[in-house]
Amino acid sequence: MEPISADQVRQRVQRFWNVLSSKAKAEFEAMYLPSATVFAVDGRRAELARLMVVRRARELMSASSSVAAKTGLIEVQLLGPGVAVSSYPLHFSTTRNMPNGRRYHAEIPYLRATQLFVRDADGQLRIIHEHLSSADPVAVQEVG
Amino acid sequence: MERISADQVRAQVHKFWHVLSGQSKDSLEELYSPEATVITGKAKRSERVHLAVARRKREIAQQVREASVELGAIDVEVVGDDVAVASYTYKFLRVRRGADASEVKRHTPYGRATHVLQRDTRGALRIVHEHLSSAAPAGIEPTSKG
Repeated sequence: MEPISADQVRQRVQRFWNVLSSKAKAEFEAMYLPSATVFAVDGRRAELARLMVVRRARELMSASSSVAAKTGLIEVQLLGPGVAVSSYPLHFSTTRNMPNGRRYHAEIPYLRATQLFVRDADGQLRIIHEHLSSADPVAVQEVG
Repeated sequence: MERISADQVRAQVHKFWHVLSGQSKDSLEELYSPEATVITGKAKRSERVHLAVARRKREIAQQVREASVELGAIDVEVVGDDVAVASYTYKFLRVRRGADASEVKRHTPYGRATHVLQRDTRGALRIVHEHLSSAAPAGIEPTSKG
């Protein structure tokens, strides 16, 4: 199998945010390995990616929700033929629907992302660990 | 080269915090690959490890006493033979001397850590990427001595 290249990782990162923004739930879920773990922006502990996907789908992928992401320079470290870690800043904004029916808008200008990718048996790059955090406290406001 | 074990990774994580808290005089640089990248604190993007190490050495030197650290369960995933990722939560409390000689307490009750480690050519485990963050803003306050 061909070794991972930095360009492939950068393309995968861009695809990841495009998929989330376009609310393509099945493809979004397939970005992660089944055993993947995630630190969400506001999570106090790591959780399994499949649980996070269910929550993001409910809050961010409904008709009235929205996601926008603009990535900065994507740094890639190739750790072997099948492993790479990407780290990058991004401007992230969301309007999410909560289970209680309320909607909240969050603007995160300084999100920082770490994503560790591995190549699976099918040759696809998948995330095995993700860590998202904000350099500044996140301001959230309720919207009508 | 032998496959990385979860215990080796956990031992390296504990070593990192012993050094960072001032409980060990081991070299901070030795824990990292020279090409490592770090995301930490309020930095808006990742930075080269030598910058983070220089800053941390200053912070350790300004500590009034050993910092206290409490680590949650360290989840380890070994990827291939020579890469592993450790993810865990932590609590960190540091008291250091401010510019005006007062004492300032910094408390991180909801820290989250990711360490990606890799064996180097000599077989030593080194951090190649680190992401430390907090689920809530760190508390910074003067101590009663401040």
